[in-house]
Amino acid sequence: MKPAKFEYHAAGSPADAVALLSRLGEGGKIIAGGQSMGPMMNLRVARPEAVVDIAGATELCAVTDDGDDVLIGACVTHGQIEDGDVPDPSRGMLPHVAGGIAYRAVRNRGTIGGSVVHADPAADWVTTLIALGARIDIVGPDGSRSVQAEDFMLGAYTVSLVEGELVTAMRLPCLSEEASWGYTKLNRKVGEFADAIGAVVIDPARRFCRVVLGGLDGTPCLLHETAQAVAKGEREALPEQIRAEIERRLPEAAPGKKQIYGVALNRAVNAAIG
Amino acid sequence: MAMLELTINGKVVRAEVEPRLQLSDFLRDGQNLTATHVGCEQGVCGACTVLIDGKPARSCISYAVQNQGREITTLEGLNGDPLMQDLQQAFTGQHALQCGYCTPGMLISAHDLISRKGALDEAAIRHEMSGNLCRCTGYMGIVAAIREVGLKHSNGQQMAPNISGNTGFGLGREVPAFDLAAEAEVHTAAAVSLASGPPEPGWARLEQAFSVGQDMEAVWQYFSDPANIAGCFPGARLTAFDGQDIAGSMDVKFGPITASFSGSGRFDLDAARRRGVLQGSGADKRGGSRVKANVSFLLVPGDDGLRTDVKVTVDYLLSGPLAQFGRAGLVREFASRLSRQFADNLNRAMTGGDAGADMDGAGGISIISTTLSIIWAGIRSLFSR
Repeated sequence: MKPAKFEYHAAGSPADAVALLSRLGEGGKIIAGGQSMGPMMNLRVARPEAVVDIAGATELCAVTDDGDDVLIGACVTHGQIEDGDVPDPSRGMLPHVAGGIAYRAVRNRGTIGGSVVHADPAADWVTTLIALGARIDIVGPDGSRSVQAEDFMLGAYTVSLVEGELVTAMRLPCLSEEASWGYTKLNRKVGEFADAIGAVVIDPARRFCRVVLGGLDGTPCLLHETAQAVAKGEREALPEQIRAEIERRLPEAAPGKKQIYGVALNRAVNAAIG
Repeated sequence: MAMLELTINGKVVRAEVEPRLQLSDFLRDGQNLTATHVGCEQGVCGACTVLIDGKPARSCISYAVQNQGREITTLEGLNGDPLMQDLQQAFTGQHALQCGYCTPGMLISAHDLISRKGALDEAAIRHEMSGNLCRCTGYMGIVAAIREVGLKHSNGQQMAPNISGNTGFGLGREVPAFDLAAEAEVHTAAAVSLASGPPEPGWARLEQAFSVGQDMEAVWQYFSDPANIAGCFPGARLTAFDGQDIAGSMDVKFGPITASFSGSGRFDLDAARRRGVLQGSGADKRGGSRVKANVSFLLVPGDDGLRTDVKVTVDYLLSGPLAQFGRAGLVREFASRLSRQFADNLNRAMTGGDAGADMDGAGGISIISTTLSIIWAGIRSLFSR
């Protein structure tokens, strides 16, 4: 058998999962779709003593609207988002992004919460959720809390969850009818992890504009100056603005990388303002 | 062992399974359903694709126990299905297989694709089928067969290609200019670099530099005792030190990867040059990975005499399972995060506080571990998000 031995626990609710995690301590690991954990466990680079399966926790599979935000449950799959099976507050951005993740057979199992918590810098959702100004809802032994997507990921494979906590939902503001977006993922083969991701969301009605560069070595990068220029409609200045901000924020990146980052961002910006 | 009840190809099956048994192995070894092939066993190649509740999924990365109450359909279960019969005939007619290893997965994925999307053009078929790898025929025959059957099952009506190249949703008009709502600027740390001679062939190198708010003499005194250094490295423990020989352990936690290295080495100080070198090796008994590392540090007085710059170089050679993967950029990023934490702990410890050796509240990590932990990653393809 490929994986190392582990105990299996099925959690029927977030509260169950929190109780199990608290009891299991450091040896316990949440699994949902298992599309990241599965390969790592088969290769035995990850060897959790126990896994807590939350895929059967129905309240984590729901998408709800609390009036202000749309809450996408942690166990909603990429495939459900791709197919429009769940409400979309993003005017098509979420389904577009979902359809570009890995392959259909993976999208049918892999979950948005799992991807966000796994926090691979080259994966799609972390960058996308930052661009949309989403928050991440968390529950743990001490109750629930919510953090901005850009504060949730601390580095590659590292997020701000503490022991016993799990992500319950992605909390997304609804884009207004004036909003537009652009998303460009550059990779060498369909379904591969990204070499660069440019994500842009413009929502004049909410005075909201974000330009995010993902696919880096660590957390995605919010490009504030470029966002300001996009918001002000300084169209001609944008390519130079993007180049300069990449240079300033990522001075150590290889020249080829900077080029790829620039291409991804320019394409995403153009798609959003076009 | 866990009790499992699920439906396979319409038949209810009950079995007692070990939690770590993958669905693919359960189907093949337990149920003798050998149409499901096992290729890469890491969710990349698609040979093991089956339908779970009617949707294609990788059975090599789905534990059997996770399928309690679900309905599994393997290629055997689609025997006699009209669409599958047409696909099988077209695969034969178009020479869409040679060794046949990928074929069951190809057929399941193609069946799902045509069921959902009908007829597609070649580019769209290639895009949609990109998660199923074939290593012998090339894809011409496979794509031709799927195209032929797709057209037949949609009465020759081809849908608009689903790859539009569209990467956004513009308004089709000028976006009204506006000022951004106030938002806090995100702080980014300045980059540091330290040049020195090249590492030994085959070894990797990490370089970090940081500043401590104490004068040189105080920092040197502190660094002269490896117990102090270990105390500031998240996850590190010193178990023995006799003035030169050293033994210790290090716990690494990097996402879901954990390892615990124990080892020994030598610690040499060069007081005149304000330099120290730790040479050592260690092994992670559970995972079977080994590491050799040379860690050297150099202290340089800061401009104002009130601060000391610390430069650290880690040369390492990793072997075993963790050595098979490499995503160098992530290693650097992790190392720089780690060194910031180390510097914070050091500053805190030297100003009388508790080192609180912890990184991002995430438990044990360490600087050498940096090296180790991150290494798994050629995995780009595996980490299917």
